[in-house]
Amino acid sequence: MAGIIEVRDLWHTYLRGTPLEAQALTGADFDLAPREIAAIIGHTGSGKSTLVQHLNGLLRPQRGTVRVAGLDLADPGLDIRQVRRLVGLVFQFPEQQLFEPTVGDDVAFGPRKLGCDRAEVRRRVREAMEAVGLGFEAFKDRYTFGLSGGEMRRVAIAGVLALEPQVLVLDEPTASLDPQGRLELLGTVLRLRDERGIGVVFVSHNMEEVAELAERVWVIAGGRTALSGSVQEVFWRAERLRELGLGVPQVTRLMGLLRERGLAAPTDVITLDQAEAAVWTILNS
Amino acid sequence: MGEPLIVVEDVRFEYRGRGAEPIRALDGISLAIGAGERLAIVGQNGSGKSTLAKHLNGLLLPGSGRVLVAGMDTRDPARRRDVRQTVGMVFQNPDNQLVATVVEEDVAFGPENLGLPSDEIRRRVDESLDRVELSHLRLRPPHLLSGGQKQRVAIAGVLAMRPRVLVLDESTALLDPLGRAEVRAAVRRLHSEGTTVVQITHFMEEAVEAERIVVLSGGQIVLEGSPREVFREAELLRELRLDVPQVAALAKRISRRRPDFPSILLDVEEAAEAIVERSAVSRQRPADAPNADC
Repeated sequence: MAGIIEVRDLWHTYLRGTPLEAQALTGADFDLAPREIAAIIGHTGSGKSTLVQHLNGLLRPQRGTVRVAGLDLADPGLDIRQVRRLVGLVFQFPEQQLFEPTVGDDVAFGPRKLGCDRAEVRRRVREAMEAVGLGFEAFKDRYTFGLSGGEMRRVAIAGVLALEPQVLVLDEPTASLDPQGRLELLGTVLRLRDERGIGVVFVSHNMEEVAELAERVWVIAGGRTALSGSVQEVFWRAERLRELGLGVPQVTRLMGLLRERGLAAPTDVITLDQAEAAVWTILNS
Repeated sequence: MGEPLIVVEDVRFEYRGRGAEPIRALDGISLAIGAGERLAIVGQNGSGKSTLAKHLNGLLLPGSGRVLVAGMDTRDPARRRDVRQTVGMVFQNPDNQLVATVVEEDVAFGPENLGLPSDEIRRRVDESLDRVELSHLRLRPPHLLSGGQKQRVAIAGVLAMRPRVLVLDESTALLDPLGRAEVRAAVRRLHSEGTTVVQITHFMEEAVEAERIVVLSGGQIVLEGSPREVFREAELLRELRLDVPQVAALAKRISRRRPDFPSILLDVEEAAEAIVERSAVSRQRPADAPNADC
């Protein structure tokens, strides 16, 4: 299947040609298939936010290629708005970026800017709000500043969904949410993919949530792709991940300890259900 | 528990917006924190835990009830300075807490404002940076440090005030796993050296390191005890929208099917031990255990 996003050998230097220049990307690769959920992990400063900002053309490639649905982002003649409509980017702490007094107006900002008529704006706002679990009638006239942090974050995501993108890119969507807020947000992401066929790219430091949600994982280190593959393939490389300043889920670490003690614990355990089955087998063998 | 250093007595607190309904954030909290104790406060967003943290050094004052810090009432304006010096706070976002352009100047900011002589400031800065293991970065600009390093600079800045209590309000929430591990190691060390630590956190792996966990919901304490006692209440925690560590959930599941398995395990080492003990290997150990790959 052709990728909806293809990144090849991408380089990016901030403040190029000045004494403060800093290389953020040094040959990163990334792919997203349609309807795929991919996680990008890497420690702070690894270049993952810089990579993510290329996916909707906020940054243009200095070297290497970025293609979105076949559009070449290095092409100076490209109408970048085409890319922005295909790929919606939600920044870290998007709740700090709400600016309209009411929820409905905030979500409507994008479709209004696109020039949609009143009825179309209303339809899009309603659908986007329902998609993130905010009832349209209950929330459209609520003041944004009176919402909880988790609700504000969902409003921000709805604002991007109202542009009806094919791919949603979320930079640390669950940072500082409580466990339940995190579960709800992950549920929303999964529903968006299952019901609307939206592809999802999310950046995360939480290895348990990467294990639960992602189909493919991309590990960025020192500005390039250090590892990629299915979640099992990546978490199997626990030692390498530790070298890169990353962790693995607790149950994956537990299986490693059991193998060190001479037990036949499987190497592909990343979720609680898998761990339960594995431990049960060990105890009864 | 040693003698109480902080006493919270039936504290209630409301946030009032103009024209808006007041929001009750704390609803009758009573709590004593012992000298040298390590306490974790957990609860979902909006449970009141940050509001409680801000009461511990008088950043917020009780609507009713009172907070005593080393015997000083936080409502007494004459003691406010002493209260803040006794209880130091570190917040979530390191970028909002660093003020100077060089690490050691940032750490010196507090003691300078106390008007201390310069050799005393020097001594405190050196000692504080040493305690968080950042002496080698003393001349760096803070904005070029990693998140974990920045947060340790913030902790050093608080330590330079020589507080008896360190309150960390979700101080690892924005850090990557490496940064979180750095800050956790620093906190562990400070506690072992005698500093009283109060940690507000969403990370249950952090909470299990505390001696006592207080669970807040709706501005009230709903559960309190050792990590073992608290994480035994998996159902209640789930109702309160909280997590348990993955290995604790695993232990619960296995023990349900096999009663001789411990129903509560808190970390991976302990879990591995419990499984090894009950497996065939412990009865018949192979001569040479194969080398594990991770």
